[in-house]
Amino acid sequence: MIEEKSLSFWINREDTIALEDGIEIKEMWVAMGPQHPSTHGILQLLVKLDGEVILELKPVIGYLHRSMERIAESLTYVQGVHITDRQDYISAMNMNLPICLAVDELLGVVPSRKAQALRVLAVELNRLASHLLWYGLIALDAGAVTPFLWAFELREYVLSIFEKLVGARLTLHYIRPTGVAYDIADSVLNDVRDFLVLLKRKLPDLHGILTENPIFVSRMEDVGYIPQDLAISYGASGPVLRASGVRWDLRRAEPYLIYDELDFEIPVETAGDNMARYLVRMKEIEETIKILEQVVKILEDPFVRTQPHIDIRVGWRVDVPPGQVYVKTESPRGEYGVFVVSDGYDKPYRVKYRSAAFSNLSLLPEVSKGQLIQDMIVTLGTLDIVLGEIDR
Amino acid sequence: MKNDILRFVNFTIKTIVFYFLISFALILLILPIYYLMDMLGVLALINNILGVNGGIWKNFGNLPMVIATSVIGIILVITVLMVSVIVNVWIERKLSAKIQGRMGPTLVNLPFLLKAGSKNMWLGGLVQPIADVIKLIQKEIMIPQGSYPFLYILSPILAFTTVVVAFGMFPFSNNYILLGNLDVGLLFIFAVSSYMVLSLVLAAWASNNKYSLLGGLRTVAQMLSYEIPLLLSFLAVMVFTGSFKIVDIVSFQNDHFWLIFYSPLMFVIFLWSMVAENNRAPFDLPEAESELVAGFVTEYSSMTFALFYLAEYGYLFFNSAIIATIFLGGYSLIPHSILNLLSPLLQSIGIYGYIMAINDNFIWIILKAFVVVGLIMFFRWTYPRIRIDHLMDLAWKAFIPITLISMMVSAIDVLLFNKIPVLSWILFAFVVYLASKRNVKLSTKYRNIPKFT
Repeated sequence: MIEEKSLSFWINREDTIALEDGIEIKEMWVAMGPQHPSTHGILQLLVKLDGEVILELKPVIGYLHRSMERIAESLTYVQGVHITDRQDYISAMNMNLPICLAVDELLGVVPSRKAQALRVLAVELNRLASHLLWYGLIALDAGAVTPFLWAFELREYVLSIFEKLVGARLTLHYIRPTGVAYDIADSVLNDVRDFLVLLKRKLPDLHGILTENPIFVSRMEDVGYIPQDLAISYGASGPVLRASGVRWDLRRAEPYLIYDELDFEIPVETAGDNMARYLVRMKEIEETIKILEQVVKILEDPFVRTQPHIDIRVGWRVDVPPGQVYVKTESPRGEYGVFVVSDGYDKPYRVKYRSAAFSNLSLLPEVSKGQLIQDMIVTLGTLDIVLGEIDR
Repeated sequence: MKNDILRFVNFTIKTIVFYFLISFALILLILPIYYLMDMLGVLALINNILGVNGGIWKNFGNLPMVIATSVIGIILVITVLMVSVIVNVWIERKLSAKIQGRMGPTLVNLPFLLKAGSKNMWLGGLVQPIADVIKLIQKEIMIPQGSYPFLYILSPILAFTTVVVAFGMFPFSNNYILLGNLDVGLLFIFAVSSYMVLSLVLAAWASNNKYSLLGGLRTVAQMLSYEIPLLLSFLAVMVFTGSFKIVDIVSFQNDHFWLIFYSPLMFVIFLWSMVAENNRAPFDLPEAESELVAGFVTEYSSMTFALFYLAEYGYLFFNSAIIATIFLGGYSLIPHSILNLLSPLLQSIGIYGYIMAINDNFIWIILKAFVVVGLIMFFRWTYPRIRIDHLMDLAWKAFIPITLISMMVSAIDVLLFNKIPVLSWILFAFVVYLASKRNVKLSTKYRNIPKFT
């Protein structure tokens, strides 16, 4: 939020306090980013500093704006899925999902059980990849390099599974209206199973190098406290909201796909600080492993294996009946929704995305007031933003 | 639990073995050069020019001789510095790669060693640092707008010079002190090292960059704070030896035993203060890349950056060598007191003469220094960065009181217990007990604390 005043105004403004003998103390405005190692993409943070302490912070967004909502109006529904990949490129599957659910709902199609299981598999695998990358980045923000590489190596397994499943690694475009793009091969299913075993074996290492580290604990504990009412009033969602003590996960609150028949827990913390958000995400990794194991079991079922993975009548274009629908799903960053208005043609009349990271980022100016710079960077890391999703 | 222990033991053994392999490979590299120099009489020549007592200053009245010896001495110092930096950088890259499950540099090789079709692996990327330096030399020195060009160029040179001077005063053996053996040797070295902070602050101020300025402010706060526990812990140990002369400190350890066993607590505090002085992780706040981009080196490029880089790694090795000298027996492998005890046994086997021949050699201090370097590198690659207020608390609320108490305790040891460190060990045990009582585990307000930790 900067509305009227130009960037140079904020950077050149200097608040001075005159002392005796003609000495002046000036508070310093630092423009962190958009080229900065730890602003997670191209975010600019205008920070007013008194020594190491932050007095004021203004996030400046829009450096990655690609008018995706307008582009979506000029593409067919099926083509429009692929631009959602470019929103939250860390978890592209989760971005594909809501628009496909919306089109399904408008078409009145219920995908087969296999398609639904494959969608859950894809989405949850990508949640793992996203959380693992986040784990590495929070370690980098705190100044430790080694956990980043350990987590990156594990994330690499997920990407190689995607490579076998889809052919792409980052912008996946796997989930399509009425199903998924490709069927899953037995070898890929085996890969998923092996990866889960590996991840379960490696998780103690990840905890050992960060969670048990006294320096890391001292950096995270009681830092970046977000009270419950503040989190709700800013529209925070996902792990940020759950770390502040609100048990709100759309997979449980308003189940979609086959989540209502899966057995998993929603990790909640009441402390609301950085450590709480860290622990919620780390616990989510374990819960996601549980979900994936169940989904793999469902996909092993021979009856399910014979079902179609997509409605073949949907090609590159399909005429969608007029109507409007809002679909929201639980992405790794929180509630990611899409509002689609159809006027009966193959292209949407209007598409509006609801970004979770945008609401979470809007908490930062409140939280970082009075923090040290180092703490602000870690707090920004625990909010887990992706600028592609915020700017769209 | 059992698996955890096994994994830990496995990891530790592997890394230790790996580390010692590197060290021994290094010695194997150095030894032939050393004996070649000995055979050709180069060592004797150097010894004549830069003799044991006095160094360049022994020819003080003779101006041409002073200039000649200075030039030779400085060239020697810079050579030693460069070689140590290259090896340090290589060890750091290989060790971090080992910790992170990578391979590190492997491909860079010397042109005349390249063979078509072969794997070229055996140098293991040892020449990578040389390639890095060549790359840096080729780049342009950028002087940012609005900076102070004179100070901007001066500060990296100043940083490098302090390292060269400190190196020159350092006794790598009782024969080879490159520039001179002063009576207040270590105090002089610490005084010279303190100039480092000046150069960093100048760099930060002259760059006209807000990140650099913040990094410079952090540097001042950190390095000035940690100078105090560093010197105090050093003084607490010097109570035993009664001299600042490095040769005397080593000979005390030869006559008695390594000083780490006289005051283990001071060793720990000295080591950590050294790490903080050197701006190494977990105390690398002045160049914290996650918030300050690169701190005081943000604007530097080309050789100006390379000089900071060389100074940092030179200091790393130099500080480790100081720790090895003060606490780990310096340039002798086994203390002479122990050798005298074991002499009947060794003579009966018939290796006493050999051991005495190699016991006092500069190779041992290099090896010990590299062991300490490896320790500091383990800190860097396994710890997150500490917060600035915790950093200050550690220096002012923990290290300084403990070192002050320890000075008194050492004095009592010397006066009442005839230099036997009874109270020092009691203090060590007490501090370890206090540290173990301080609960750094996660507080119980969190529900999702992982079970397997």
